[in-house]
Parts: sequence; C-alpha cells; structure tokens
Amino acid sequence: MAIVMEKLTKSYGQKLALPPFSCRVEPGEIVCLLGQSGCGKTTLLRLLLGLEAPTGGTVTGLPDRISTVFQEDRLCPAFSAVTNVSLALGRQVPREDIVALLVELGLGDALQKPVRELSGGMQRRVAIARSLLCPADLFVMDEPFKGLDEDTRRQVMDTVLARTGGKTLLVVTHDPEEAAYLGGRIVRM
Amino acid sequence: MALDVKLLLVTPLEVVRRLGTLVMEGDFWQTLLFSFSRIVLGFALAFALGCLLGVLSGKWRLLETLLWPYVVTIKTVPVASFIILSLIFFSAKRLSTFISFLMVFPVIYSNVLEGIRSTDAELLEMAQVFRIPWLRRLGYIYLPHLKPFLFSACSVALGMSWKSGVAAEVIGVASGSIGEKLYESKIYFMTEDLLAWTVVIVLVSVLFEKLFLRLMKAAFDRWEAR
Repeated sequence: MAIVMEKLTKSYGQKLALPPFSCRVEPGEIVCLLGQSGCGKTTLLRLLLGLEAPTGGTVTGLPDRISTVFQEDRLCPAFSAVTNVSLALGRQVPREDIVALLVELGLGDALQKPVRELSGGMQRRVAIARSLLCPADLFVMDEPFKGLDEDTRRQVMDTVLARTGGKTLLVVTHDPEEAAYLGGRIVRM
Repeated sequence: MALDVKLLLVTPLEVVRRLGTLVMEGDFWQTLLFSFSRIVLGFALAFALGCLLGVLSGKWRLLETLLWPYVVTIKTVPVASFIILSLIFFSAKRLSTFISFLMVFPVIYSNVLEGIRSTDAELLEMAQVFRIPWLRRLGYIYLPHLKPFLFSACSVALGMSWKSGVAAEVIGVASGSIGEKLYESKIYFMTEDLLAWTVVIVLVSVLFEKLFLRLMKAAFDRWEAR
C-alpha cells in the first residue's frame, strides 16, 4: 500500500515548521528527501513516526511498524552496542544476528564497550544497526550517514540497501551524491 | 558559683579514652546493634517504598497528586512532633524505625520522581518508536538517569535517618538503645559519655553511608556491564 501525504503541514504557534507537503511513496520504493536546513525534513519524519500530530493535511498508508535512525543517535550511553540494539528489539532478533550486523558495520572490536566510549561515527553505526534489525516495513532515516568517513559511508550505505531491500526507505540527506548512490527517487523540499 | 569544668566540657582526649572503655563494656555492641538494626530497617523500607512510589508517580501523575499532601506534611512538620505523636501508636522500641522511615521517605521519593521527570525526552521518543515495553525502559533508560539522583538522595537521607532515629530513641527513651544512653548522659551530667556516644553515632553513620553507596555503585556497574 502506497504512503500518501497530502498537503501535510506543521506549525508551532506562528512558526511554520513544515509548509504544505504532498508526496506519494510506493511500497518498496527508496525516496531521498533533499532540502535546505530548516525546510521541514525532520518535522516531516517526526509526523510520519507519530511523534507529532500534523497541523493540517493527511497521511495515509503508513505501515504498522516503522523503524528509524534519528538525526541524533539516541543511544543509552552506559550500555554496550549489543545491549543498545537488543533493548530496542527485545527477543524478536537473536543475539547472534545483532552481533553479526555490528561486525558487518565494522564494530567488531567495540561490541561490549559502553557506547559513550565509542567515537561519533561508531555510535552512528550502532543507531543504524538498531534500525536495520527492527522488523519494519518502512525505514525512515534522518541524515543517517553523517559523521562517517567516505569509505565507511559507502560500506554502510551498501549494508542499508541490502538490509532494507524490498522495504520502503525514506532518507533525509543534504548530499546529492549520497542520494545518487542510494539510487532512489529524489524529492526536493 | 564554682562548677566542675569537666561536668560541662571535656577534652577530646577524655572522649577518646571514654570511647576506648565504652567498646569494652558488655552492652556496647548490643546497644549499637539495637539502634543500628532499627534505624537501618527504617531507611531500607523508606528507600524501597520511595523508589517504588517515585517511579509509579513518574508514570501516573494522579498518584503524584494523591501523595503530594502526605509528602509535603512529612517534609514540613517538625520531627519532634512526629516522635511524640507516634509514641501513642508505637512502642518506644519500634519508634526509631518508623521515624527514620518517615524522614527518609520524602527525600528518596522526591529525588526519584525528579529523576523520572527529567529523563532524556529524546530517549523516551526512541523507546516509543521502537515500542520498548515500560519495564525495559525502566531498566535501561530511567534507571541509569536516576543514578545521580539516587546517590545524592541516599547521601543526605542516610545521615537524616540516624539523626531522626536517635532523636526518637532519646525522646521515647527506648530501653537498650543509643538514645537511652544519650538520655542517661544528660540526666547524670556524663558529658564524656554523651560525646563518646555521639562519636559512635557519627562513625557508624558515616561507615554505613560509605558501605551503602559503594554497594549501590557496584550494583549499578554490574547492571550497566550486562
């Protein structure tokens, strides 16, 4: 079922955070949202995640389960990478699968360290692993590759594409090259 | 009027000397155990209930509203009023448990509630999106955030439990307690005894505080290393 956003808008008092936005996303489609800072990309994702109610407009066809990579990592700093991922997934995903993905993302040496001891790029990859293992039909990612060096970024993008294959993927990015690499439809906001 | 100075003031050396003889006396350890067990029981009950109700009030605002008048009353009414009032309902032997419970509970409860309320909203949104059950949120999001609140609350509350508990023993003249010894020191002008027992209270209170905080830190470390 396609996700249809019609004249979706969000205001905070007098401040317009998201001007009327319409878009149709087909199941399994990859959509990259490009736009300047402050144009409402993050607000749009928050509306899709149900964290905010729209001021106007409608969105239909959202799947029951949505997974995300927030703009911030939003990890529990005292716990390890494995614990952070399993915290979000419970017993739905075996521990071996969590470890395998973290290793695939280059975190093999940092599995048991508290995430507060990891670098920014490593923490980002933990947040991506958490999202990818979530059994969702829609993946919503807000600048997921920021803070990653060029090689790592490509490797992580490959993993994201492989793991979300067949599922709908909505990625917010500032980087047209990144959008081109992901190969989906580009929507300018 | 001539007064024996020793009656009013004693030197630190004399207090230490009296402390030395006190620990050799047969009933010293019994007295210490009597007060320690009752005051620590009061603290432990207040800690458990304060944590439980603090967490539940953080989840349900109605419970916070219902508890608010009780918590404010306990915080503001002088401890002496509670002690005298409680003597009607409790035997002097159990009074110190109840009074230390009463003094510690609001400190733990308020700090836990404050900790729950100030938990990182971004982490809670993450928990909402990933549908993390409440108990797991409690263990992995709320509990680590509560850590500094709990340490600060316990540090204050442990001293309070001893001060209020011994005050209850003095006013209730609980037989076999440290409070009774302090009361006798006052009646018979035994300033050496008064100060020696005071030193004992301070030492036991400080040692127990160090031990408790260390155990709590170890428990947190163990939980976070899972």
